[in-house]
Amino acid sequence: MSEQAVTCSRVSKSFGATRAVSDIDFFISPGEVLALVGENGAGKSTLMNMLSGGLAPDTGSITVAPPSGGHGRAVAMVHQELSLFDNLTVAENLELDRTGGRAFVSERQSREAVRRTLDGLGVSIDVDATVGDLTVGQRQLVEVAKAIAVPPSLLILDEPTSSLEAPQVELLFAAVRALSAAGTAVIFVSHRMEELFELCDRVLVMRDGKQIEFGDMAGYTRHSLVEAMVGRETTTFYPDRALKSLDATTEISLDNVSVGSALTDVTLDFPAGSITAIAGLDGHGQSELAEVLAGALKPTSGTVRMRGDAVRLASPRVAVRRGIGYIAPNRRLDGLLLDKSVSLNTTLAAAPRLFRSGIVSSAKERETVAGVVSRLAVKTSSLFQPIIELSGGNQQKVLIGRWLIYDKLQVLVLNDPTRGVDVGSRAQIYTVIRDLAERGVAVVLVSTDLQEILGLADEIYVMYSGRITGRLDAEGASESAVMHLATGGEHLV
Amino acid sequence: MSNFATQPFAAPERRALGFLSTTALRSIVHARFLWAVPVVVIVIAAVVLPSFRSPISVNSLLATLAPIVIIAIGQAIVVMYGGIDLSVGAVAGLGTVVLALGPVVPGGAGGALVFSVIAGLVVGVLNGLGVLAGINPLLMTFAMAGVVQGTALLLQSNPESAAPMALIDVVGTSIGPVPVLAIVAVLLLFAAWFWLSQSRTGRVVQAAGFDGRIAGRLGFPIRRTTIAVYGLSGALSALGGLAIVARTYTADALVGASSVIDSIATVLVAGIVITGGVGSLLSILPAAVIIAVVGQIITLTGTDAYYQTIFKGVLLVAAMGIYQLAGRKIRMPWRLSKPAIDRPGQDKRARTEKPAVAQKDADR
Repeated sequence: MSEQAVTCSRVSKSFGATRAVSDIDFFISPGEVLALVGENGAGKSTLMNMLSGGLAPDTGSITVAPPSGGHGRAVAMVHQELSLFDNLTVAENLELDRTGGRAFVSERQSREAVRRTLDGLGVSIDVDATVGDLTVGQRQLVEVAKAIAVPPSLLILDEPTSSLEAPQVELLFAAVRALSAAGTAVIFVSHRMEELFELCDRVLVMRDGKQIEFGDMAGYTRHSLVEAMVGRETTTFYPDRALKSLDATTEISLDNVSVGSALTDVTLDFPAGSITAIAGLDGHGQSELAEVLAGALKPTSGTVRMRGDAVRLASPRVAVRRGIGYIAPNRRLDGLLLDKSVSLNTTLAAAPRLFRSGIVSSAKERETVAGVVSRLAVKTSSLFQPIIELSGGNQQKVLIGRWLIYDKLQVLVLNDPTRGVDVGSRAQIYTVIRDLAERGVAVVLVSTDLQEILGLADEIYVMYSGRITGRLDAEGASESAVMHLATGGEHLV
Repeated sequence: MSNFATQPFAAPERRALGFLSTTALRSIVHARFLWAVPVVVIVIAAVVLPSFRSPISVNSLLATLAPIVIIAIGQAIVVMYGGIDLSVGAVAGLGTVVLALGPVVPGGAGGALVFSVIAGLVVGVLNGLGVLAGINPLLMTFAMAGVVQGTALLLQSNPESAAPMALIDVVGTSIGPVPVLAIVAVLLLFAAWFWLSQSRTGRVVQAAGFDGRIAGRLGFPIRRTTIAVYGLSGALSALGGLAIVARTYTADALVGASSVIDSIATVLVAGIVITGGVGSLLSILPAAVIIAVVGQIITLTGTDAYYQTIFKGVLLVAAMGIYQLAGRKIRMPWRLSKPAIDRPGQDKRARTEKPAVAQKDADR
């Protein structure tokens, strides 16, 4: 099988007593795109790390063909966690990564080369922009550009689309297709099924570290692939809706709230005990609305009321004291203390109420956190494992769990709560969100995932350019009705 | 493009300085207000104090400036790398003591000069090895300061040592009112700045200083760079000690007592961010001038010299406060997730490309 780009034969890897990957056996021909799918914690990351040379397998062997040009790297990997330096420009970041070369950088050549790479990718990002000033999507594209500046034999893309907009995804796909036409083998990891079917030739399904299936993508349907991943039927993906109570009290409301040009005259009530979704295309003010509720953004005009009383949410801290929990879209930047333990990250918000004396009781802490871990099925080797070592879905579960144990919680604001989270974890997260609502919490769900909104919410408000353009009952609402409103259409009635 | 502070080198200007890194140029622009401060201080001092204008005063001012700048260069490189060097003062003292060993080492005074710098380099490399072994730079260099100072005091008690006057006379010469060492200090500053912004190693220093975790994952040469960074700081500290001797004519293990606060104050006033990776080495010059000129004023007016130390502490805190208020300008790492500054009008979390939305409108 020497003509294969990548051959993986009977590869296993254990960490301590945990068998992270066992007996993986597959190959990729040059130019093929392989979908690597599995729930979070299925062993995908470990496998990818072994392929990219970051980890050595315990048993088995991995062979990667040398790159076609004879120079550059055999394997390039785009991590889910970006590896760009925010203090340097795009060109400087890409230059850093270039192997070899002279002791001093030729600025003109470097800019020229980087510009060519970006042009090849079809993106128009200023090579002299400081990376810290770019949007998450732009950074993701720069990261991809870095990986393909010199075509490798194998390109590994670990959830490259989780922070990209549709047009940017198209650019990425075009670039991947061009690379694969030139003979590069690609491994593509994504939780968006439609992308896998659009881009990939073959699929490798992993579950609990084992290889479940390996075959042609064409032999699968969306349904059969999900089933192979989770190993069970997925009909009850979304929890049942609560019975509608007409006399639900309004927990929190916005009264003519505006924020600069991002949010204009928004008046909304969020009733206790139900899930209210804010739908819309990305960047139409939903995020700002969530941040106003969470106290992270101050409205330029208008009032926020809790149970009818005007409140000033001067900071997230004040909001938390008033019983408002917030889950930010970027968990790594805005939600977690990455180096700290699962336990500390879980008890962060509830600590003042859990340990009233100010002294952390480790028994109580262990009991509380163990409850969260088992309730949400968080995969962690111990409660004291640093959270950065957990997979994305499990990190998100910890974030949700943080509010689950906060007994004072009255409002929970979720901003894109399942970005980059696998199917199995999603179901668990949805169940917990519904449970919270049944406990009487007013849940505000901001999401760009229409399926999620339609499946989970009780009522849906749609935003377009900073305004609420309509309200829909989730029961019976259709994707097209939401999209109509989200693109500036008039209310259909 | 409208924001001058963040996009100062649009196409036309960029061609002239195109051989320099954009980040290096931007850092200079960020620090542009700092350069105005010493100018104002000097003008006021020159108007109010006639003695400040005399050639002797200028000469002594520049002679004071040289060691501050030389030692601050090393400190700045370490801080850019996300570390700190508390051993600079002890190493400067060691440098002068080794220099005084001239009569007993091979090569006489010239040999002693070389040995002095090598001694600094060795201490720096040891610091680097300690940091690589996982010891916090603060602790490593603090402990090293104790070891080095003790060693220097022991060496100093050697009765055969004496400050090599012949050598000091050579390095201490002046061209007009300008001491040669001041010129050397400024040349070193530019060389170090160029090295940090344009060399591959310098880029690694900036990158790893900003985020060591990513640098490690990308397989950057961390070992080599760490040893180079601390080694440079050690060698420059010893050289700074030499510059102190050229002014004071005494070789003494305790000569660098004020060098630690001087260098850290200079580096932080220069706007180099303590967490690493952000700032411009060139700003050391105005920062050092502020410290040296105020010291000169205190000397000339006959004010108690202890006020100088108080002033440095106050200056350090004040500078940090000002930078904190002007937060957007120095751009602390934890602020970088905030707005895309190149498009001021646009919303910070607008991940949507505007044209995409327009497209959807058109479709409808």
